[in-house]
Amino acid sequence: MKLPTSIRAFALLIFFLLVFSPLLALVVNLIGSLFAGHSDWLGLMIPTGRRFDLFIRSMALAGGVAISGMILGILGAIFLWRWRTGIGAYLRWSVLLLIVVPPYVHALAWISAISGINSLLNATGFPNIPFQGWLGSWWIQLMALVPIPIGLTLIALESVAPDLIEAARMTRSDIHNLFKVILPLAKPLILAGGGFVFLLSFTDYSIPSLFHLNVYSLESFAEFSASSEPSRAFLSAVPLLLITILVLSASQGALRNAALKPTKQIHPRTISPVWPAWFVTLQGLGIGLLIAQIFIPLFVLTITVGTWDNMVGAATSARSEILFTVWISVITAMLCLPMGLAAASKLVKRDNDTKIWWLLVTIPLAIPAPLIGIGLITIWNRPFLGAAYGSNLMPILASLARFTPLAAIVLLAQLRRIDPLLIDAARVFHTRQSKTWMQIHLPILAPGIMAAGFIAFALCSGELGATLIVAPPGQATLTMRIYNYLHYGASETVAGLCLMMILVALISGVLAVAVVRRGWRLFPKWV
Amino acid sequence: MILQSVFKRLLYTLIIILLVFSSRCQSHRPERTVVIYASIDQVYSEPILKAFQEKKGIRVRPVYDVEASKTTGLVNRLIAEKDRPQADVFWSGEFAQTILLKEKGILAPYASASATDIPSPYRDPRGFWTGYAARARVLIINTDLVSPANYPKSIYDLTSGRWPAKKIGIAYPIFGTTATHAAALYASLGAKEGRAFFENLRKRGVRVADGNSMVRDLVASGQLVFGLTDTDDACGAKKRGSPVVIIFPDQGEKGLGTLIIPNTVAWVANGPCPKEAKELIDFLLSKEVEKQLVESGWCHIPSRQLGIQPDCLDASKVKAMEVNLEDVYKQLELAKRELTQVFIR
Repeated sequence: MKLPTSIRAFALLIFFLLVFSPLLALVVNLIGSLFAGHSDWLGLMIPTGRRFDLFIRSMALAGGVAISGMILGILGAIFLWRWRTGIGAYLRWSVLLLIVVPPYVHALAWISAISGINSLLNATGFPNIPFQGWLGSWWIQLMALVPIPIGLTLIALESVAPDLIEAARMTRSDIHNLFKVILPLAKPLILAGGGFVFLLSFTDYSIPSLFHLNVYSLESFAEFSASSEPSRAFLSAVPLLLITILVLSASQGALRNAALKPTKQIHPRTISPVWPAWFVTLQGLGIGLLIAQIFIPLFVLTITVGTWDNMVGAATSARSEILFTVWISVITAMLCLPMGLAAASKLVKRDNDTKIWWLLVTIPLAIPAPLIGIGLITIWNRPFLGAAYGSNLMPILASLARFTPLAAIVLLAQLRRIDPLLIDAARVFHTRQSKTWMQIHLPILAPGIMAAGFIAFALCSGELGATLIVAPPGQATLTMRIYNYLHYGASETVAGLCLMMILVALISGVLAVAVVRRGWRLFPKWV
Repeated sequence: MILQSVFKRLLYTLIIILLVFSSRCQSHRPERTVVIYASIDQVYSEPILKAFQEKKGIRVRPVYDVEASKTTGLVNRLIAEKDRPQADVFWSGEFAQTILLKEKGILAPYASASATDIPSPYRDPRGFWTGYAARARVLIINTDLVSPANYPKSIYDLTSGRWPAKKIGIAYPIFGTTATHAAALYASLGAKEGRAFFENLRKRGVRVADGNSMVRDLVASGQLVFGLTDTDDACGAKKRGSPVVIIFPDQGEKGLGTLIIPNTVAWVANGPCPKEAKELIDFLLSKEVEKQLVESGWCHIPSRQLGIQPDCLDASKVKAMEVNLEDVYKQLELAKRELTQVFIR
């Protein structure tokens, strides 16, 4: 898989500059601190005693959230996979929308819902649901992050060649084919989804601390808060870094064995699959959870907003934040795609450099967001870059530094689905590399491009830690405003703004689908 | 190559969009601007900054902090920007972080004419910062769950065993104003006794919430009987009609008093617009603005006579903890480090 060489080189250069420059700044700062006599700080890299316990706890929580997320993702995506025609083909993607709602708001909605359920249980003499600690943290992180594995699994299933499935159905049962044919083929993106959920859970302290569960990432924040020394916070994040590298490498290492088959035009199955009762029951349970995942926050937010006037008032008061958020999220999503594709094309190779590229791509994912912001300040706050620093470019750079590696891994999983034989065949018939790229690569990559773009859009629109550090004076994102109102306690305004975020994501998603679909039809005519 | 041409066009388009986008605010920028980093809630500070803009014709470009950043936001941004500051003014909801900035060499002295009637304990002796419009640490109590005769009256009620530990709460004492309060206890009681107080809280299993606003919400919803929070949070709950009462702790004759936390305003050294910065500082420290902060519900203990009282509580006779603000700052890092080990485990 190759982008035209000059474009790939340019995209890689930009990827390196944007993603690694904040990191390099932190490393240079760290080296300076060590030479200044702070070599004892190196001890922060090794979690011992209390910090080791926190570390193990964080791993257990993130592992639990990732595994349950993958299971729920598979159950939900297999169900939604059947909705291929009519309005269902669009509706099924609505499971992704709530990814733009800050996890904190998911938590508030569920706390409110569980409180209501507990009142009912009390009235009927049943014990309360103990919605605290591990249970609360696991549940909320699962509910907030599950759109990622569902979306990626759905895309993976869409990419499985229908001919293969139909051929398998001739000889064995649907459930056998699911485990022996379909899921192995979909494994790259399923594992990528699980890896992302693990990573996002592992680096999040806000939800566990809300439910009184202390985790390692809170320790890193406490270190930064106490010392105001980015180097110390960076060193305390090193264990996070190692785990991130291990998890993503392990999940993606398995991909090399994935069967490589071409994706063709999607055709609905001639006969619906027949699942055994136990699987139907599990699926029902999964769908029930997904419905709750969508409707409980929406219901609680709608009830909390109260009136249409409140909703309009919240939207009107935040119109500049909404516009700013959409702008930076769209531009981030657009810019991270070519860079992510260039990085993914390095990861997809199987030579010695690949391991180094894996290391380079995964390192930024484990760096706490405020440190990315501090690194960006170190790089960009220079006299000759004065026009850029303090401009609207900075939050885009922050999100690119944080989320381009994620886009690269999503695109990698899709790249691995390209059959080399198909490319060889295309080379025989196509005289131009560009024609092969447009007519073969791009259609196969389209679902991955859509997914990577949407994930980048959603994560950028919800980003807080790095954006707060580099936001241009006079500008704020919708998430910054939501967190401001959260502290104030204006729950109806928070609810109105969250609903507005969902609406923005919905419109952006529909527009993206329309653009890609239209583009798909037009591309072959260009080349 | 058509593909390369398409990509190039796309690239150029993006660059143009970025340039237009990034320069949009600059092309319309009025001649005079001032940049302020504010850790006071946007709900309270935004109207004041807009009023300044309208009155003076100076465009204010604010960056607001959020509680969720756990005090790693704007203060660390200011430190990182030290060599080439973008901000002109720092307006903080408390004092310890401002003193930290002074110690780091981020601030410059400025004796505002608006601050001459502010008492000296609220002002840095060398003029690096000026405090006013204070908040206080208070106990917020759910009136549906506690009768007036049983209202807690001291922070030691948190450790006394009169209430189940799971029914009382504080915020993490390593972030925000709760950390400042912890440092004040260290300064007032001594580090050993200060730490012992928090170790008792931890041993009892008192609920530790994610922030002062969360303590407020838990008490207001009846999940907690009472908790320790800030006046603005507590008054917000009362204003919304929640069944709560607010008590200043340790007000007896031999009581410790409560921690008074002034807002602080400081001039950022080498900021881009010094003249405008001073005008903004003068405006923010004016009596009118302090009055507005009282009326809006952000501050409850004004630094000088304003002729008004906050509507949610009577703070006219509040007994303050007798601690020097600089001494509190000096205990802050130690308190944070020790209490991280106590509470994050």
